[in-house]
Amino acid sequence: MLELQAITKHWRTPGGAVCVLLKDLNLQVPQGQTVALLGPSGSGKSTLLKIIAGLEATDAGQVLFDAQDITHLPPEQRKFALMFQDFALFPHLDVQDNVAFGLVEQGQRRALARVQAVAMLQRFGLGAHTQARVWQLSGGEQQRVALARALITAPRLLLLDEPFSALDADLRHSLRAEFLERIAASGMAVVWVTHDETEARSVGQQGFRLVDGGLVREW
Amino acid sequence: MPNASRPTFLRSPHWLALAPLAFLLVMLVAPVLRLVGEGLSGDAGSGLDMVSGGLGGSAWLQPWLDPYLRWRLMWSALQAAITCGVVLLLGVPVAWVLARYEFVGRRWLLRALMLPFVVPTLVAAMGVLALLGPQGLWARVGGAPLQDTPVLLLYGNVFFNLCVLVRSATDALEQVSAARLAAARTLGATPWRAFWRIEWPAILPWLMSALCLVFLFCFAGFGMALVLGGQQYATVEVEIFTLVAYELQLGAASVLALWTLAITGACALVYSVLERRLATPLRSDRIARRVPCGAGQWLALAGALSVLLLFCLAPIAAIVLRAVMAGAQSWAVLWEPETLQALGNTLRFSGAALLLATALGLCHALAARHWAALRALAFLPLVVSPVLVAFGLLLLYPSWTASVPLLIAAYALLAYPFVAKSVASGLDGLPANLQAAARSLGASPWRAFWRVTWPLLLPALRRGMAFAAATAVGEFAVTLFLSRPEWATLSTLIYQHLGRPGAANLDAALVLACALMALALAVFLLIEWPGSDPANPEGHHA
Repeated sequence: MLELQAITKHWRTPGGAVCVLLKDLNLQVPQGQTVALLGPSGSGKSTLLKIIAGLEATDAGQVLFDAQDITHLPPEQRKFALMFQDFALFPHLDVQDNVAFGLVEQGQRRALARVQAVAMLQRFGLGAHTQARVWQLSGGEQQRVALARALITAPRLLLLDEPFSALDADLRHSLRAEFLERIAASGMAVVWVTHDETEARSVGQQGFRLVDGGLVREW
Repeated sequence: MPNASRPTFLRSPHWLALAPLAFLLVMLVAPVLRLVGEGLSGDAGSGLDMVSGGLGGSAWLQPWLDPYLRWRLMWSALQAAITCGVVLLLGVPVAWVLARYEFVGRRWLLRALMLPFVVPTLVAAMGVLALLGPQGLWARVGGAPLQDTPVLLLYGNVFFNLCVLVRSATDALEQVSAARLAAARTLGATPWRAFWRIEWPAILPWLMSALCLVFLFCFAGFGMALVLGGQQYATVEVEIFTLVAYELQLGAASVLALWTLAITGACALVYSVLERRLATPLRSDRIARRVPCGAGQWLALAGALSVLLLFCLAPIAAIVLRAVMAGAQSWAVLWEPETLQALGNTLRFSGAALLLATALGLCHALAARHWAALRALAFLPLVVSPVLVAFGLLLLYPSWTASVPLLIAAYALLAYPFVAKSVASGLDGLPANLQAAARSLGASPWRAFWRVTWPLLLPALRRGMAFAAATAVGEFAVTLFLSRPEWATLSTLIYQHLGRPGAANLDAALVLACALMALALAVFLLIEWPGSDPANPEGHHA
């Protein structure tokens, strides 16, 4: 289970002033549950995800996972997966190498990692695109590649930063159902950041709104 | 505070700055300070007295009190200002055509506009001579003699700098908002009024920035002014060289160098302020290019191409033509032992300098990613002219001036800003989340750099290396100051042939210039082959 305890984060404005972005923020995400985080742009949702992933440091507070303090653990040792708003697919790698990236980093041989990646891509309906470059794919296909890349290493926690914001409404709706199915099958805990309340209610067992640096429970 | 608590792996690798900073300190800052010290010291006066016939007043004011030196300074500024005016008048219409019209070969033409950046200064000067010189093509068709007029130098300046302005203005025009232009047209503005009221204000800061560079290049130019300026129209850089190399008046040269530094420094300051203002995100609502239709538009395209042909291609074509016309006897110079030795020296010095420049440029760019002041320091070697660098080194390290390591280090100093600037731009262009994505997928900082950042950075590195290599291959001023006769490079060999009497020597110089141009181009293409970026051939981002 993920647990955030009194997380505080400051933000320096371009003018040099220091503002509070997150203040004494607490959150618990039980195993197998999806928690939706709502909030307007600039409220600190993405920063919070980066703090959980280990990509940003906190100014105060603790990040715990399964009761272990991981606040100062570097991101590669947390075994979480973060899916970015813009997908962050690697343009110099083809689709299968994008998906195999995490496996190679776990020490798996590249050839074997590719085999696993191709199998994963086939399950995601992308078997015909394994050797394509990522920019040759449509938005929905890129989204699936990003999810396949995140899930292939069987992370302990999945962090999704507005995963559908770059897609049109129809595609967003159909992909959301597909995503939920695949995430449910993996059985992992998920933190799903979005500014769309309809989306948040359809994906999260719990929902929180980020207000003035703290979380307010919505459901 | 937030920054203080950032994890180590997210901080910039500032320690990488140690090598380039130490290098800049030893090779640039210390020599320039020595030069300034020499200029401000009383010793300078004695030298100047010899030039001016003994004038009173402070030593550092002497260049403005002496009519001969005052003319040198003022002419240097004047020819730079005239060049700015000419390239502005010619360049803006050409850039507008390139930015607004789509035509076959447009991309190649934009690539070809890089050519003057690759052609060595001395080769360009030879090109101007081959075209407009006393035995050039212009004279052969009965044109009025242009020798001993400022036309040769100004034409050479335009050859080098028209492309600077055209490229900058083309980029600027491509950033103009299509919506704003459309709004202006619907509000009743004619195309001409829309240009003046919408496009011109938008591109003006870019033009000013490009003009600063043009002024800097022309004011501090050496090779071109040495060959084309003659006695009357040589610039202050040539005067400094003459005072040091032929008249051994180091004091007088230092005072002139001081003023040159002040003027180029002021120009660089204006440039850096303007550059900072230009650091805005790229527009997405660009104006779509259209195929020219109607006689007027085709005429505009033909006019733009003619200007580029006349000012950017003609000297290169002339040098090739004159070298071919020189006959087989002149081409034999290529196999002379002296030439082969010069070729060997050119490759040896350039190769070593390129390696050093690449290492320094990479370190500088990586360290300066989130450190604006450090990034600005990479421009220093471009602000201080090669003549001043060499002169400063001569003063500071007199016992080292005829050593290969110092020569190579000086080459690297001039070349490494290209690597640093290109890699820094490459780093800026990397999508923000890729490194973080790699980290969240289990890659350590080093692995994330090696597997994600490095492959994406390679095209920018290659581009920077290509310019650095072309700069090193064509280097002239520093070699003239710091090398021994047996270390002659192709550049200095061309200059030696030019200094010898007779048409045969001029022909030999033209053939050598042709060979040097081919070498610079080959080295450039070898590193920056004009293929697509394997990571992203169409500039798309995932």
